[in-house]
Amino acid sequence: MADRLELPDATWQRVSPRLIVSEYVGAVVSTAVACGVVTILTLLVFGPLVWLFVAVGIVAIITVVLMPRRVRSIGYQLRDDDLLFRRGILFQRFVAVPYGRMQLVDINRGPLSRMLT
Amino acid sequence: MSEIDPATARPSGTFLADGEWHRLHPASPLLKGGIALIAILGVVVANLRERIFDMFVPHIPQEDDPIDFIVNHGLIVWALIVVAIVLVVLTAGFYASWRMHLFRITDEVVEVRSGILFRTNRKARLDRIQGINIIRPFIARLFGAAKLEINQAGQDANVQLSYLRSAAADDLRREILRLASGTRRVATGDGSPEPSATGPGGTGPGGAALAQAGPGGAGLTDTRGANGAAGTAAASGTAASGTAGTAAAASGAAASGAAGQSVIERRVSEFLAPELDPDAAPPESVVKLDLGRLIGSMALSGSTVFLLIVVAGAIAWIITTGEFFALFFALPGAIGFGSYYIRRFTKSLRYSIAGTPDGIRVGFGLLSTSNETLPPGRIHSVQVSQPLMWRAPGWWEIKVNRAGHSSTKGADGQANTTILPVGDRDDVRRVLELMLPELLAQSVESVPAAGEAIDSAISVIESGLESRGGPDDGFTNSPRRAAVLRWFSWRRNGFAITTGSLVLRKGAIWRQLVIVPQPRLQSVSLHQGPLLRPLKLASVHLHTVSGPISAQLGAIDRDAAVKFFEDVARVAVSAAHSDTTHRWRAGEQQA
Repeated sequence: MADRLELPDATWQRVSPRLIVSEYVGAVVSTAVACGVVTILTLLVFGPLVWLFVAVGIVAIITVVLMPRRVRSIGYQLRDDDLLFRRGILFQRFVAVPYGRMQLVDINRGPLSRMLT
Repeated sequence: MSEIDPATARPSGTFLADGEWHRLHPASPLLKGGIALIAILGVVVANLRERIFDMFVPHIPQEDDPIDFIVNHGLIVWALIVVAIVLVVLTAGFYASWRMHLFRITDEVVEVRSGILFRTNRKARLDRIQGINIIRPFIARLFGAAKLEINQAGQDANVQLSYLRSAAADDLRREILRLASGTRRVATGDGSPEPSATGPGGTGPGGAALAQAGPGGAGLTDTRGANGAAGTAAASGTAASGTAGTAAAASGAAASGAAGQSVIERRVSEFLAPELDPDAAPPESVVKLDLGRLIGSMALSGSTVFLLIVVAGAIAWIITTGEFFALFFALPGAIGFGSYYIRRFTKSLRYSIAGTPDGIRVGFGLLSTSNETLPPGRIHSVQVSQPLMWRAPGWWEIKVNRAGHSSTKGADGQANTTILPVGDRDDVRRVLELMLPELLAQSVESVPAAGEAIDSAISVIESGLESRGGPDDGFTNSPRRAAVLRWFSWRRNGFAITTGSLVLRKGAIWRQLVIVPQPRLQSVSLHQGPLLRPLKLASVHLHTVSGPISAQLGAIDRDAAVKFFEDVARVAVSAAHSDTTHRWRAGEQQA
């Protein structure tokens, strides 16, 4: 853990923990879609594809286990002259964008996010 | 369009940047689309000639081609009517599109209106200009016409004025750059309250000189047309005297090139003279691209290696199998390679680069020329690179990232981003000095006083180019443990922060130096993946506008990378604050 990147004098604003819920819902949906695809493949063409189900299950479990940490790894800081943000656990990424270089700011909010407020 | 009085919308030719609406060159439709029409007509006439020939010489009638069909069925009248209608419609369309195509240059914007049914109106702010390109396609050159292209940031964001008279295009570019540079505001303080109404004379320090250069400009353009057609002796005489005058005005490195030139060389350099007004700029190119070096650079390029490998493979194939049909596949490839080489050769042959008060001017092209001015602060990153085979002769190539995308192609047939196709170390240094005065963090006037700062910046660049790397060469290099990832280049793989720029150095085999001017930095990012983490390394990416250069540096020490990231983030903000290049000659005006 000591090898991880860390900026010395940064106090990070974290994103809302409710993002975890939202991301879980997304994970459930995509897992369901993946299961559906595998089922269709099983019915139509190839025989039972047990290993594909297993793979989907493993991916889903890893996603679920890592989700809270991944959301907690997202951080930002509004400094005097630039916006600093970070994300990622395995692949860490820090970006600093001066305010003067921002061309536009988007806020996106779907029905799920609205429900969670 | 009722608000535009037709009388005020004059055809181009006189002073154009006066805020009034103007029309383009009357031959514009012909040059833009009419060439194809002429070609079709030519084919038709050529066919008819054969037919007329057949009328007099008894000959077996050919099979049913369209004209036979028309003649045999008594449709000649109808055919002629159709042809006439088509011609009338085309001519009317061309004329209408020419009449409806208007442009004006005010103090703030360039505005173009065009279209007959679907009207378009495009405005481009002058202080957002990324570059102005004057393109002279071969055929347009014969007509003495030129295309003026004003590049703005973004894809398809150019304002094209095609076509203008050649001399008018040069004048117009100078005027647009003068308006854009912000000198107008300085001039206003000198007691000429409405400079745009009074014309070019008396609008500022450069105004009188510009007006004086007018007739000379016209003369040069005439010789240009003549040379495009034939290159007569009279034209070269005029050119020689013209160059002598400009050479006398030139100073320093520029003048050294003028001595001992043959008439032809002088003719060529006059042809490429970046600024018709000798007071406005040193007219000589700071880099001479001689023929041998150009051919050598092409012979030693990667595509040549590829070609040789393909040829060797084909020969081996033929020898082992004894079948020659591989040659059929080789033919299109050979044609492709040949045209690539010829294109690159003719493009680069007349390369020139020179500094003007309104930025650097880069010219390319033998038959179709393009000549572009990049105002200061429009170059977002610079890459000096050296392929392996160029190391022995010591040649380098310079590319840039820029926000505007010109529609014409550069030396390689790629986007117009190659600023120096091939040059030695001195050429590189001269070009860098032109492009990145902020690299030295000194304005042009104070250069002699600031010798030490320049020396250090230059030493950074020079060690950046050729040093094998080491602990104390001005760069923070990768630690030894990075050798796992950077087998040969870890000693060299490093970064440096100079007074005005950020410099990344990488590659031991394919040497590369990336320079990002600090005010042009968009954002900076720091990465670390599972491969770099156990090695205590990290990578840094400097984001600029998109282009051929990616300012990315991998496998540097983690702590150094973190510090670099923080320094760069800080420096980017302060540099952007003090940057005034959008009005590059406006003095201390704030952004």
